[in-house]
Amino acid sequence: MKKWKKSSAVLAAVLTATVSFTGCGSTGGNTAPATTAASGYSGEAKSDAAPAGELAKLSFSWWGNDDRHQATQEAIDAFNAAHAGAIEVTGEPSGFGNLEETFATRYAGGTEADIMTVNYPWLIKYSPDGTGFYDLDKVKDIIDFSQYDAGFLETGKTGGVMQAIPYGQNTLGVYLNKSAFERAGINEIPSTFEAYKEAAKTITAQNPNAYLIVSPTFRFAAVYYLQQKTGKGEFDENLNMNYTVEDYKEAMTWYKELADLHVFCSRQDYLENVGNDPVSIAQNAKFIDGGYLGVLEWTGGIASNAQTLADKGDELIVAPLPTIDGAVFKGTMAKPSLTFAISKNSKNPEAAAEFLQYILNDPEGTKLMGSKRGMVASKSAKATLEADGQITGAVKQAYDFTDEAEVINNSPIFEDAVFTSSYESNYEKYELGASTVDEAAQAFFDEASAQVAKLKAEYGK
Amino acid sequence: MARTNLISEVERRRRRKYMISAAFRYTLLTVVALVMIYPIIWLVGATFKTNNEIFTSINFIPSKIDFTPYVNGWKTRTKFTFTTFFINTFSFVIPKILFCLISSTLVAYGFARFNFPFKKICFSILMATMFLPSVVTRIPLYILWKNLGLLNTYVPLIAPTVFANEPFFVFMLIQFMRSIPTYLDEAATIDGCNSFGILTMFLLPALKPALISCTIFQFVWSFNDFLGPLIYVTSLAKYPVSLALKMSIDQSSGIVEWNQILAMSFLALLPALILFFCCQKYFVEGVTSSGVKG
Amino acid sequence: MKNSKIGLLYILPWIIGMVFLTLYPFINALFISFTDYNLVREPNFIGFANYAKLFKDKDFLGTLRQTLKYTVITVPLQLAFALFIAFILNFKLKAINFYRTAYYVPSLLGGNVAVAVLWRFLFQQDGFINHFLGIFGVSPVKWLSSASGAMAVIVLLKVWQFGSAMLIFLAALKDVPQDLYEAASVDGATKSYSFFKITIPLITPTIFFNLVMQLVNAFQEFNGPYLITKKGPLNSTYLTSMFIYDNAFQLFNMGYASAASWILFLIIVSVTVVLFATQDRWVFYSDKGE
Repeated sequence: MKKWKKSSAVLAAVLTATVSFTGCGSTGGNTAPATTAASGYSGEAKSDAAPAGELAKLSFSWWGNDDRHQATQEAIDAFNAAHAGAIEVTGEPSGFGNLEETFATRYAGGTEADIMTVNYPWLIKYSPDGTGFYDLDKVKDIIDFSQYDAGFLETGKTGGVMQAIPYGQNTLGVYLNKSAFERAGINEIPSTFEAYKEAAKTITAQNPNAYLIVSPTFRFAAVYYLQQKTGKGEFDENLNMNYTVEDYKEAMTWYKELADLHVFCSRQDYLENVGNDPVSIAQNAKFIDGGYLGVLEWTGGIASNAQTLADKGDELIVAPLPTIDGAVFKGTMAKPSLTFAISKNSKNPEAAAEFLQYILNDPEGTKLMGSKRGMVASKSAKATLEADGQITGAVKQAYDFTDEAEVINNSPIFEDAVFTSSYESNYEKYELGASTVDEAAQAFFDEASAQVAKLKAEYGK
Repeated sequence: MARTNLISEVERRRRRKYMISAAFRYTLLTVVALVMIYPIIWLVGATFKTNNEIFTSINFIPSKIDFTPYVNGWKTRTKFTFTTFFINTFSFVIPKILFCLISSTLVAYGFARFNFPFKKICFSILMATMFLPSVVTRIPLYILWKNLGLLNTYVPLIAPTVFANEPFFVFMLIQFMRSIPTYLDEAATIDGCNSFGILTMFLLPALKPALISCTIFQFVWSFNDFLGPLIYVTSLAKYPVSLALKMSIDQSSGIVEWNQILAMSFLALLPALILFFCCQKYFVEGVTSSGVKG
Repeated sequence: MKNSKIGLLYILPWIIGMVFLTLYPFINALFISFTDYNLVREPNFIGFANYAKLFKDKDFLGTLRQTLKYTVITVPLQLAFALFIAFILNFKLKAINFYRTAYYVPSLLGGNVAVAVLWRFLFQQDGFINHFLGIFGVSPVKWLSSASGAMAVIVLLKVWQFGSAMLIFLAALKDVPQDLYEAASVDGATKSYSFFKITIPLITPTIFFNLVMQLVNAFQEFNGPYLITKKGPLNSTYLTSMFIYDNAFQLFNMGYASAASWILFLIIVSVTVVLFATQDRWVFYSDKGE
């Protein structure tokens, strides 16, 4: 018995030692890959490149639906066929769920794909100083940057380094169910908020539960208002906040007033019929049935909204941008829809650049990729798609709208989840009567300021 | 005569009472059962509907029956079909079940039937490991598997079962073993059985219902597990059904062929349903374990 | 019970796995909770700052309150329901296979998309539930857009998915010798008498197991709110595990999330310790006193 106690004590000691050893080792292990990767970033990536004549194997990660998977796979197959024996790209598609979680885990582990789809807000997050991804200026002979608007291309830079190529522009606009308006006897589409108030009166007289415009992200409506009021975006280049507590209070009051008049969807109704999160309402019963007559959303969502309405025989149109009283700026906001970057750990960045050039600018590649990722920013891609008859209907309207609309480009921190959820929960408290508008505006302002301070520290601004 | 009348009167009343209570019981069971399975009925109906029909009607009867969603859903628009995804799923779910049953039984046996030094501490740790929210251990574990070069394999998914590191199963089996009397063990020891013999000859038969439950739970949970494969499995060729199902669901832009997704998710439910239905008789057989108790 | 080194041999696989697959990441997580680790940048040691901040974080404290509320309501309801159904299903009934399968179906569905879609249908203002209640003259309830309504919805979802607990009960009930019931019924005992006096005492180990497991699960509940109500109106269904998930994988405050999960961990552990302490009073094991 005693003997046993002794030997198990030894065993336990060994175990504890192992535990503490692995415990300590873990922290080293955590950071090690990141450090080596960072130091290897500048030149070594190239020296690892496959020598001529050897097969360069690349992986390409993206997310999407079946249509997008199919189109992308066809483009990959065509590219591989054309580069047989030299370059072989493997697709790594995924669904839309848990996007950043998957991306962050792989990025942290240094196992990201060679060519990856990157959401715009991630650029500054994972590469605040321009060293998080491969420097695309090194492959500017391969990728034809002249196909892009120079100002728009700037959105792909962090720390002055070309980190990613923005694929297309997303513009915030108002899209209305024209058929539902006509059924209610309104043939002239409103263009000011005053006109919307009048229209709401007519429509609620027939259907008391109807709302004219749903804004799945409630903060978008507020920022739309404040941009027109001040002529400035929510954050400046140095990530400072442009709006004051008073501004936010005004925006909340304005929205609540319009929600009471059924111009904008109330939070209460949104919770009841859509849910708690900002999601597409393309497949929402109330939208399909005409209970919501319009939506304030990015142009990227227009095709699906138009499609579901078309299935019921209704028509969706892009409405003229409504303006507020005393608007300083009569436009809306814009951001890159998604971007493509090359991994700083990639062994074959040149081959990766060749692939990007193929899917972004090459006539054959862009034709195969189609419009499955929304609108394209590359001029050659747009020309190809137009010639191929792929830009029609609502999508055509969206392109025209994008060309005409006056926009303020969003700050990369604009879509940080903290701002959106804090605005939503504080507006909700105000609307549901759990706080006053002063408290709600102040609470949002404080939470946003704290987050701004944190982001500034992280991004070294 | 009067006496027999009285008895039959009592008997009749008893029978009527029994009939009423049986009718009540069956009605209740049936109503509750309908509530329970309505979602599946709706799901089956929805596989034949159009998007608009799905989102605007709770009625389960579709306007037409057409199997194209099943055919197209199965084909997918990627290079692979659901045949691949089902094979992938089974190729890690089956090992998981086998390893889980073997290792959990051994470990549970150790805890339930032996005293050894540090047992209390070990048991406390076993319990404690059930309690830490798993989301935080995900990153360190990911980095561990990455350093071992085992990403994009099923090893990270299977490994915890090899080492009985799903404490739910161990704890469950311990509880079941503790409710089996120990005098048989002792008798067997006197008969010259070693400890492993006791486990296989006496305890295993009595544990059958519990082991069947473990199989079902492990099967259902592994089959549906989404977050594990999401992080560890990156190449499409190795995708399990749970990942393949979520491939097309787009919350942000909303272009989704819902009937295909629902058709495939119904097919994904079938193996678990069939397994469960087939295992029924073992639950009934489980009564034999009370025979062991004597 | 034998005193034997062999016991250690049997649990050896678990020890090995526990050290590498559980303890190592756990300790790692503990270390992370003292840093500002955010996945991208090198972690800095910041002492107890995360913990101090958590105790002042209204959102976090709110999630603890809601989680506690959720647990206290859900666990007894679900256990009672699971035990009741298991008890009934244990009788010799016709079509028993069908019933058992039917009752397990909701648990099989788990996080299936159909559940999310359908539950919203059921609980909408003009949905099925309100129509049904209307028959009894109950005015429509705001299930999804009021704080208490949303909590009720996720509680009901959990109670509806009672299959796992039911199966475990069922397996335990099968081990209750039938002759005990027969003897009791000869003595004139009613069904409810034999349920409370024979069945329940004999399956206390299983009740205890289910209780512990359901508590642990309820404290870590994620699926229900994630599928249907998200944070809920006025954060009424914002549970601690969602808070941890949001911080870890939406905001990437890994340090903060780790600290929050250690607090949740400690709460669950203390509740379980209390439960285990009461175990001697009401749980009866066959191997007692060996």
